[in-house]
Amino acid sequence: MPRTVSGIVDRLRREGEVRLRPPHLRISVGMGTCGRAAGSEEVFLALCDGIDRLGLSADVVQVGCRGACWAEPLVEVFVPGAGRAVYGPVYSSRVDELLKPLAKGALPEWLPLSTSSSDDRPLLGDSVPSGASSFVAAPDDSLDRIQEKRILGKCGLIVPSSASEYAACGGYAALVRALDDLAPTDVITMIEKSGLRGRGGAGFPTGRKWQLAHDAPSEEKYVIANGDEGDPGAFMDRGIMEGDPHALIEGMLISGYAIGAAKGYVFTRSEYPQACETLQSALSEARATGLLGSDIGGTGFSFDISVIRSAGAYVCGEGTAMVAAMEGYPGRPRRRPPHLSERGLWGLPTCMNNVETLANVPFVVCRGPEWFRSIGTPESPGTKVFSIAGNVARPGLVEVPMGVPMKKLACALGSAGSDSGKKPCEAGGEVEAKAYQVGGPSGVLLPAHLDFNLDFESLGEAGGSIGSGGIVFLGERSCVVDTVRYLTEFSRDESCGRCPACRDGLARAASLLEDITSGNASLESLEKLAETAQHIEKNSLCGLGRLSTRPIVSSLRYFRDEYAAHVERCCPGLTCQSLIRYEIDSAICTGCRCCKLTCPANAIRGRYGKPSTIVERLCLKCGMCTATCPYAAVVTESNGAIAHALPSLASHCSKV
Amino acid sequence: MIDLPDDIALVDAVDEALALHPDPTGQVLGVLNYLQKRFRYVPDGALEELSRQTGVGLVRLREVRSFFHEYSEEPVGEHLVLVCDGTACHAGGSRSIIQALEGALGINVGQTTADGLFTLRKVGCLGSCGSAPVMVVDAKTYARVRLTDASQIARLIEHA
Repeated sequence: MPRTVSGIVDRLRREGEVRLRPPHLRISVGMGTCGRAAGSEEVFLALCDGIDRLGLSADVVQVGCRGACWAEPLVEVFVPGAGRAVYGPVYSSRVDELLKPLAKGALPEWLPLSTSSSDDRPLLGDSVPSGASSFVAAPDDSLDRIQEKRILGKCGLIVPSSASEYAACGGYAALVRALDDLAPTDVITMIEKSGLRGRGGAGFPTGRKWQLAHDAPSEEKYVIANGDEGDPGAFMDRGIMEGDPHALIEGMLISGYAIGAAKGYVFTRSEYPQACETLQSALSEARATGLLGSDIGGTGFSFDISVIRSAGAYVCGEGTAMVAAMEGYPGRPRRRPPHLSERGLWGLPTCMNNVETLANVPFVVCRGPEWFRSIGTPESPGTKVFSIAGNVARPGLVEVPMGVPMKKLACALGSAGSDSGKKPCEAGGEVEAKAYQVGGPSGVLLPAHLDFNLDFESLGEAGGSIGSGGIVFLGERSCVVDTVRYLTEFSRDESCGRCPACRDGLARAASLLEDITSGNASLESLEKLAETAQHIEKNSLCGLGRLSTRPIVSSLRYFRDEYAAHVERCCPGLTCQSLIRYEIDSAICTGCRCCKLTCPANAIRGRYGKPSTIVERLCLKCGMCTATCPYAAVVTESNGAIAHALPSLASHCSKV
Repeated sequence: MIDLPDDIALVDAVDEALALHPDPTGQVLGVLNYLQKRFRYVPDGALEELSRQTGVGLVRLREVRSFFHEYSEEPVGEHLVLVCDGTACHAGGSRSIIQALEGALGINVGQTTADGLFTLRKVGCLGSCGSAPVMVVDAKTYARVRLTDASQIARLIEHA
């Protein structure tokens, strides 16, 4: 057993190189939460089965999410001598088709999502956490062209819990450098020079945070990784914890070394069971190799990490609330100062960073602050992982340099702003968006025609923040006011109830929005809503309360006409149930009675072969008839706004 | 109906949970997670035992139980049906999916069926927004649920 840190990491790297580039086939199946949801478990079993049947010599491994959730289930194959390629979606029914050419030592003739030559040496060789740099994406792929994968580089490539595969991609090289060559203060200086800012929402300079925790006089200190990613629409921390947990572990080790802590905790959401599991097995591997525990590599530095799983409370994402929950109290925030760096867990100095922030640390330490600053903007250097969801062709995780124009990203993701006409995007398959919801319940709603860049400053100018980095695309058939109502209700339900401004103010705002979306409002209600928002913002105790009004304020600023339409009892997005009615177009209806059979309220009348009608008095406005009708004959109407059923919803049963 | 655990079972469970979570940091969460998973609720008797063994006040433990959404005072159904209501799922029509499931199971969201088989819950975000709208039945995740699927899934689990 090697005794020094560099000895341990060297041995791991050699092991990992063989595992990543074995002399036989290696097939990796994306088994993150999104992959499993798309059916990757069946694919994995079918692959194991097929390999047995064909008598192939191959490793079939489970990996995390690559970010391309839109193409799940994803399968990567490594064929010695022929190269590496990623395919998706690969369903279990297509597994045989995939294995046949592999048995002959060739890659299948499918269009891959990305490829690389078999000699992906740069990926391995140098002690550089580069990861994806050698993974040359298909050059015509607009999405990969704008991405700069640092954090996500190893996700989906390596077996998440494997310390050796992580090391073979340059992992733990930063730890070696920190422990062997750098004093704790040197590490902090590097982080400070890099300009790394917290990825959790507030954007506080990480170096300064570490300096404060370092300077706090105490024998005992704590490092906490905030993985309580509660913002609806954000899942980058899950991606890291499920796909590359050793990056988080290495970041925490370096943080512990820099501030002088011996114990770290990862606080994760209860909704992420798989992330917990993956992280636990990665921690056991790190302990077994001697990179975690007491007297690491004989350096005298000891550090261990435990995982704490929450039980469903959004407010625990706030630092002081999280500490309270960890100490066994209800997770309610307290007033700051004192900051956590002075009085944190059990009253001791505590350095809390977001998971994505910590995953950036090894890059800074290994490659230096200048390299880190080489992309992004001067005030927001580096990359940011955004989670993309909603009405867009390619939802998933993307990692782009800070400051990328939103329009460029939207286009690459297969979406076009409503002002762009129907011009197809270069990515192909266009989906129209009218608004972006950036940053969850403490984020903003911005119109798709607005020009803004994805960095702390530009979004601040637009009245918002980067938040945790969730972007939900809202299409023409989404209602902005309903989305604001939803976000406000979310904040209301998750308010811890300590301060009246947030507790009562959000209840009032939610009830005003309920009135607006149900058509019981006047223009005066909009003024009241704005006033209430102002009151909450001014008087709330913690950041979650103060920022909870951003959806209201931004939507009143950019989407006033949509509010005004609701006052006139018209929902332009045809979403608000109180303002819409369904009708069957008798010219299209064939009288097949599919809708009658599925209507839960038994509100549809008509004989077979004759156009049906909806009895409005009985209708629940659930939309089941629009989803069922094979001929898109059900029309949705809201005081002048009219739309036929979405063909995409109806098409699946067109063979009825 | 469910047989409620007796005192001996509760003491055993608390002992086991404490053995798994010896670190005072995160101990209360760890033990309560264990109890919720094992009994499908956090029994009063278990909190009393935990309070006795750790010295943490019973009132505080009860407060923690009511603060976190996942803990319940009464047993939840054998099958947990979770419908994600994150922003993406909401925009994708999670509200209609919840309505369809409420109709199929004959309960409101948050309730448990009379036979103790199903509990229907709405959750903030399952972090699988790329596959929205999403629902989870026990450990199985269903992606890109269509309204017509939701009622089919409900029928499927009804016969489970």
